[in-house]
Amino acid sequence: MSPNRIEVRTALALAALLAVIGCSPGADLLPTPDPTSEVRTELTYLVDGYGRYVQIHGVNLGGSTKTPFTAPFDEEPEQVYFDDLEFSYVGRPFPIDEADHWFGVINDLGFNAVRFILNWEAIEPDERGVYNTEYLDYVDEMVAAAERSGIYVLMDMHQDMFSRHVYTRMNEKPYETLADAGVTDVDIVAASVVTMVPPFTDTMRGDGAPRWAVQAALPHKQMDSPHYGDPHLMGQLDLEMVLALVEIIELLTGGDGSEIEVPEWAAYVLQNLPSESYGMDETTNMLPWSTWGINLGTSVDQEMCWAAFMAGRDVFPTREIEGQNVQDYLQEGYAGAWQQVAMRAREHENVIGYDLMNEPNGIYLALTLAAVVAQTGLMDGVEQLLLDLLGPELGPTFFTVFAGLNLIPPDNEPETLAAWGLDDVDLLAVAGMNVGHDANYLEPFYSRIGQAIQEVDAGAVIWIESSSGLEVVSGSGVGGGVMEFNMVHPAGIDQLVYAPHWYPDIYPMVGLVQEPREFDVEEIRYRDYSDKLADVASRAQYSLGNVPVVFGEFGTYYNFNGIEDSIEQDYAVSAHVLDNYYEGFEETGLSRMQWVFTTDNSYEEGDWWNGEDFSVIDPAGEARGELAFSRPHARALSGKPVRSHFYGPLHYFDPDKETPDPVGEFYVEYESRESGWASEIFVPEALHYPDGFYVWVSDGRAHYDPERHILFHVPTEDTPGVNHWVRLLPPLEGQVNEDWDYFFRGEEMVNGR
Amino acid sequence: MRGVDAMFQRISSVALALALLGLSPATATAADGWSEASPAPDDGSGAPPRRVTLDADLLTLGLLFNDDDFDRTKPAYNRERQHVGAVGTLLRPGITFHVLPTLRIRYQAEVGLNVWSRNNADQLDPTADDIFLLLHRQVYAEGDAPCGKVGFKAGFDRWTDPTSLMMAHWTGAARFRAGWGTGGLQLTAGLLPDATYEGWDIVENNFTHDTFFGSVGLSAGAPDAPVRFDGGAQVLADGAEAMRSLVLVAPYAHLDLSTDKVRIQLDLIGQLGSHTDATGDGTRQRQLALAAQLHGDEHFGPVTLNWNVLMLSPDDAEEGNGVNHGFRYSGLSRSRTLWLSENELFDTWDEAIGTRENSHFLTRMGLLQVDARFAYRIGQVFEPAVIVGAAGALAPANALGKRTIGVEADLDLGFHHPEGVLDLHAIASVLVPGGAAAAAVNRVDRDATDVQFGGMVLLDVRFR
Repeated sequence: MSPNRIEVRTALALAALLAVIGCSPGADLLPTPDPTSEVRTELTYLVDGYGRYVQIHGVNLGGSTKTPFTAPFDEEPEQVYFDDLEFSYVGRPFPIDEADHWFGVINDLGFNAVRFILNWEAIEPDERGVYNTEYLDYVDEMVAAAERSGIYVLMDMHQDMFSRHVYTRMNEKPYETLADAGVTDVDIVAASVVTMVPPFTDTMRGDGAPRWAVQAALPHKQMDSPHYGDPHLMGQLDLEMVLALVEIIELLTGGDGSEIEVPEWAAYVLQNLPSESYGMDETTNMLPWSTWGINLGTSVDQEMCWAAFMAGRDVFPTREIEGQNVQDYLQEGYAGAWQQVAMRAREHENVIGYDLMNEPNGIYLALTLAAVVAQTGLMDGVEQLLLDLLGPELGPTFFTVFAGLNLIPPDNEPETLAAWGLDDVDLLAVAGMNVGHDANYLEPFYSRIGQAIQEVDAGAVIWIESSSGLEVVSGSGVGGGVMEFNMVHPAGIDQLVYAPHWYPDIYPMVGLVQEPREFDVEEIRYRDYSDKLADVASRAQYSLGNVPVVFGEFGTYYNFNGIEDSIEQDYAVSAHVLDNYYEGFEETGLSRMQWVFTTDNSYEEGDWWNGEDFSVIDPAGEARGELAFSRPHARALSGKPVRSHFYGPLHYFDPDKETPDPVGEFYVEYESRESGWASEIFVPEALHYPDGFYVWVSDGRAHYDPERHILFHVPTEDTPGVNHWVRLLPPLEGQVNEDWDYFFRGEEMVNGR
Repeated sequence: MRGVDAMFQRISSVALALALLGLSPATATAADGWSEASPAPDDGSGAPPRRVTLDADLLTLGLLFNDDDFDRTKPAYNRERQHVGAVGTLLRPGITFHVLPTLRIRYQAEVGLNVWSRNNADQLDPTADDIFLLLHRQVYAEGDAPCGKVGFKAGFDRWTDPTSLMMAHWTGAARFRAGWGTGGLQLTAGLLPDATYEGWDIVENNFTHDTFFGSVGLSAGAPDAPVRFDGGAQVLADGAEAMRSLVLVAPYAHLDLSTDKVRIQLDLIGQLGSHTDATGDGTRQRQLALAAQLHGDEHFGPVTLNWNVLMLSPDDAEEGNGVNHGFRYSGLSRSRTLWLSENELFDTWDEAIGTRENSHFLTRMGLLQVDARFAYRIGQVFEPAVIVGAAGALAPANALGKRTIGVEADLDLGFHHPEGVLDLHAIASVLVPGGAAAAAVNRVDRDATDVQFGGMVLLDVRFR
């Protein structure tokens, strides 16, 4: 046989072998867990249907849900505060035909969960026990759409300041109004007064409870009055009161109020006052504070709604509706609305729980002061109470504000008390709410509502929050912590999650038209939130039986220094604030859900509610500040989480000599595996790893799904007590990478040695 | 760590290096098909039946390369800089105890490789890093029955299967062989060193996490016949990793066709088996892989031509799915290339493109390599040679989308003592790497394909 013939034959044999390779069984689809599965609580953790420890990296959905569509729906949303318009929440946060698109965007940004903003009014809009099935069906379809996109859903019965039906109108552009009127001497005092004078361009309002519930809580209010919602101060304003207002506002804005003159703009105010006077029973005593939440501690109407809802049996023992005390009347209605939601949600595995009430109010300062006046008729008593409570610096100021802005009744004449709704209030009960609200009222409320949900969804996971009490808003604990009185695990709740909110960097502005202060990046480049976050979360440890903790809300303004500056700086201030948050969450191992994802965000109106602009996407639907929130994170770990970190480009690096800053380094460590299913790590490749990324694993193997942006890690070391870890790092200039196990770039990959 | 120290630590066999450079018989050809070359049995020439024979090699070599990968990107801080090079020496003494004319005990050590810039004769600590290295390469007994039809070998050696593509490991094994006419049967079983060390105390060792190999082989054809055939099946049972046992059955065939001037060898080997807990959901992963090699050695007067085609099957793009097609490769082929395959003084890219999984290189990107060596003998002493080769990945998806591994060219100026006791080689090399090799090898920029070049000088003195 000649060599040539041998060569031909061997070549043919080799070709045949290659053909065999080509005909070998094709690539089987990688068996991976479904993106969502039924989540339960286990000790201090959330565990999914595959036995893995779930980490929630979610976003609230969405900001404009606080404001319903109105009829006709193509009109501007600010018309919503007019009660005579038809309204609907169907389509909030977005129409169902856009659901797959937007949930896809949420998924691509890296969020694995949404806190779906529900609304009591949307479910039970017109009367107690009559439900809007169109809205409930819409919610049902939205949850199903989220499930298709692999998104967990937390059902959140949202509210702020109780209801949108408790509001005050305002002129949001007083400077322009005065300029148009030819007034030249315009300062913040003038603007503050004029913001309460017609023409009105917007409202300061709440969201949540339906109109019928507000009427039940505030039976003395003539909600059909044409003046309902007009600033109460304008109802009886005269020159003397204008001067008093100047004094108060100067006090609030730093002046001493010692030299009061009749200002030029006072004439404009007096000329534009309402043509007729109106009493407190015809409107609310809300004020258009630059920070809306101040109303929670200054509006008797606000606090009366809360007192009726939470503690009607104690505070208004004689206030009955349909044979029930107002507390039971309202809470039963609330529970019924929840059951309607739960009957649909229980059909979806991706529903991770029910957040019973967003940010329940725990401040009853204004109502307490009003009750003091109502029961004693002594304004001196109010002044002394504030002095005792707040000290010699804050006490007199608060008294001046409360009395001067007509936030408490001037006397206890029967007509006054009837107009204020204070003729049946129990002073001691109100006073007690300031110190024992959560333990005495919120906890039983949670128990009642949670058990109602469990009746229709036995596997329900109940999520709760503390109230916004005085110690929370004061930041340091008014009264040296005496007022901190926490609830314990609500009775009868099988699975509980503590879901606090925390907004350290949104800078409340005390005043009516206060401009936000200026910020620069360096001011906030490095702030360590870790200890604060751990402190907030610690309530779950010492009060609630060490249940899992997920921060239900946190976030930041996206219009620091004005929206134009923010855009110009590519939202740098906001992104750094958020990066500080996320590094704190990683340091403490806490799950979180950022506020908020608003698809109809507007540069002018923000999230369409009280001027807030927290949306993670801009009006064009593009992410902003995403370097902070679209970050690698472990979504599910097959062992207990130990620690993790991500050093993004916003991280404050302390450089080491001749070593490149590890920009893009992600690390997660977890305890010995308890599930046979892979751990999952979200990897925002396009944003943080455009040139690919290295992967080091402690043991086992990893593979990457570029479509889902998920890196799977399957640990194989099975020795008890042995931790597993995964480390990611992009190629860095000058960085020598050794001993990596994988390098992934899109659909391409290479195994390390 | 790489660099000079790590580079030399990778030297597993200087003898092999010699073979690869053409100083000894063909690259991956074992004397009997299942072990490293052994001293010849007693030839019955009258030598005393009980005696001792000695042999030795002393090798000194120096090398210098411009980089240790294909990326000239400067690391942020690198004391070693990028070029690598060293000069070193090793001694490989061997001793054979001829117990009977058909029974032998063999021992061979390797003293070195010791780098001149590191070895310190003043060092008194025998465990110090800069002491002369001492490795034990061969420790075995081998014998045949007087009839010559049955025999055995047991001990430590480099055990290489007839194809060399799956088994070429320094390890302990035992083999029984039987022969009849021109045929033969070989049964081999052994244990591979593995990553799970269980302690030296025998009561702490229980075979649970060991890696076993074995084979059943049939051969046909006398050693000097024009056609020889080896076929059979190898078995690998790798239990080194807890709860992730790998079992492979590897049917193989080796065909060897020889004439006076031409020798053609064909190697085919498949790997079938399963790997416990190797898929994404922790289930069993099927193994179905293949390797093939075609090799030729042709001699026409002063001209020698060696050529080789090597193929390792690739895996699909889904690592961790239900099946793996990537071949588990020993790292040893019959190629004469110095960079692409068989220069074990330096990382060779047929290994570097794979992942070291316990005892084998798993090549998920696959490999197709074609190369040739052309040598021309001038007189008794001088034999220059040119080596060229090219290699590519069969699954670019597992190589960052790149297909080319590299193209190599070498000039080897060989000088040989007429009596075969001394060889000197001066070699200049260049490798134009491709993206697939860069993806696997580079330390900074995964896409850089900067040309690698260098040179090597090697002096070998032998005592037989």
